[in-house]
Amino acid sequence: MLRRILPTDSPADLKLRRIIAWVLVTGLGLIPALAVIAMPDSWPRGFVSNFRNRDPGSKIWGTSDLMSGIARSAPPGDIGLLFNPDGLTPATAEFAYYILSYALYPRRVILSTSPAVLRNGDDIVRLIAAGGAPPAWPESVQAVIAVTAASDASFRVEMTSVRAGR
Amino acid sequence: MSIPALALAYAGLLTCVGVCALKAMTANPELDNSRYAAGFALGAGGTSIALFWLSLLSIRPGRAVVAGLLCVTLTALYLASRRMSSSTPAARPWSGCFHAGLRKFPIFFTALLPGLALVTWHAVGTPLFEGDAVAIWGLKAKVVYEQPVRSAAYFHEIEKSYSHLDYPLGAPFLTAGLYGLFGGVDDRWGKSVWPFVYLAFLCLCHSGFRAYVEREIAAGLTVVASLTPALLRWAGSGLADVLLAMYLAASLIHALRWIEQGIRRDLVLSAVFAAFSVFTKNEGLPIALSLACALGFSAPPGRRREAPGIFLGTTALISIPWFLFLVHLPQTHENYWSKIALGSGPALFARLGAILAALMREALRFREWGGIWILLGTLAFLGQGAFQSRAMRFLWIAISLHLAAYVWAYGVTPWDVAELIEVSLSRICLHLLPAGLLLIAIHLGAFQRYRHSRT
Repeated sequence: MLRRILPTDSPADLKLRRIIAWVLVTGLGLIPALAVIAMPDSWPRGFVSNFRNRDPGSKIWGTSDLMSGIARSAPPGDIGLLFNPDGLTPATAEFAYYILSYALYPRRVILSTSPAVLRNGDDIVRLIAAGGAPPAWPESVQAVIAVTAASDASFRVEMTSVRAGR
Repeated sequence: MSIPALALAYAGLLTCVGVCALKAMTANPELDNSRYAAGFALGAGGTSIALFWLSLLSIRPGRAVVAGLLCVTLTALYLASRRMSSSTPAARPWSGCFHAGLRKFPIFFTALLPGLALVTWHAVGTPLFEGDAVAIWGLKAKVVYEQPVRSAAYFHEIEKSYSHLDYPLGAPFLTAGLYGLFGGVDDRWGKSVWPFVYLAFLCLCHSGFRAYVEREIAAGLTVVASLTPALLRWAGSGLADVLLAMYLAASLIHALRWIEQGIRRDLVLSAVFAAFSVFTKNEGLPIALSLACALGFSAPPGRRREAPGIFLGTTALISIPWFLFLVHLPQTHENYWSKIALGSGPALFARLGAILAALMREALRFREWGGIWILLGTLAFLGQGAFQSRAMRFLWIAISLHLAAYVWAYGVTPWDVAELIEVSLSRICLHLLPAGLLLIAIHLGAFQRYRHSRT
């Protein structure tokens, strides 16, 4: 079909082919990409807003502050996690467990006295529910962090002494 | 030195090591920006693997180890490259235009700056906050920085199975190298390597485009690639997907060079980058196998057995320590390789329709991809003349097998497939982006040259 439209290698045809190539690249590639970036809820606009919005209300900065605070104040050795199941969704439990495991490394985070495969938030919530009363922490546990669900689908933490945990 | 200066020094050292290695291997005196990008990719992958091997010997990546490793390697490779360039003739430029670097096109480089600024902003302007970036890649980077892999209890803690104990360690060791130079963990500046990965990916794509289309069109395509929403979304997040895409782009480009020029060291380099992919994500293994198959079908006559052999042999040689390490890790429920066995067929066919529909929807998702996959479909129709070329055959076979491997993985996953597709498909399609972009360039080149090819 295109050979019928542009049958020769004349300068005019070559120029037209070049123009068509540019129209394809910009029309089907560049303009849609720019349009997406300009959307109000686009990721790039989200990055900029996150960078500018450094107040504690911003979830990612709040989490970052929490991680560095916990990492500074926790003693070396194993840390027990005591989840309060009230209002705790699997998503919040998963987020809290992953964040605390990351922030506290190389300390070992213990959720249960017996090792279990924790694949996602549902597994974590199931383990918390099965635990019932606060577990008897092993001797290696140096401190216990109590995790409570917060109203904004986030969580709060409080470091307690190992005796309170036991 | 301040932390930003150390981050820049790290990227610079990785690039210098890679460039010297390329010079020692290829003796190409013309080092344009695309070769610097390939040098960065080679330096990043080689450093990750070297730090892993040292970790297997119970040496953790402290400051002295990282600085010593990079400086000693750099000196050795520099001396080797000087000896090589005095004794070996230079390689021919690829398709007569590979030598044209970005230096001659400052406007083009300026056009990449908006994307680069956003990725840099995301990487070092925000903390590590993406779920997988914290739970998997960030945690592993801390683990391999704090303890040698041989003695780290983490790899045997089944309660950490959410972080996929058997996931490859390329990205964590790349970040741990940076922690080594810093002298401690800094998860925000630990992401400072990702803008360089993004830039290297784009420069590698540009070098591939230049072999098939004119300079202006190649620049336009690279700018389109740089602003792809999904790429901007993930490049600075601390996840390993764009790193995998960079290695894959480098592997594809060297494989295409080998198909067109037949120089064996390009095939070996392609295999080396494929090995880096294997060490970066589990998806790297099916990618390497699909590239080997595609090379077998697309190699020049008489070299169709040799090509997959050299490719797979080189990839396996580099990957052996990793696979030996994997054998000792506990197996979790998400063991895809064990699902190759009988019984996976019915599950796969039951899900096939939903998976293919999800892939089609993803290709048309404006918010993630703009019009990039539509552009590929349109150009594949307009530039049909390219289907006769070996390069085109190689890329279409590679991308088809690559896609088939992902369809199979979704077909047998133990997770809820709809949920898994929802959270992972955009990142999975990033792995297809290098081949997709190169296909766009080749079809566009064919479209522009169809009259020339007929005469």
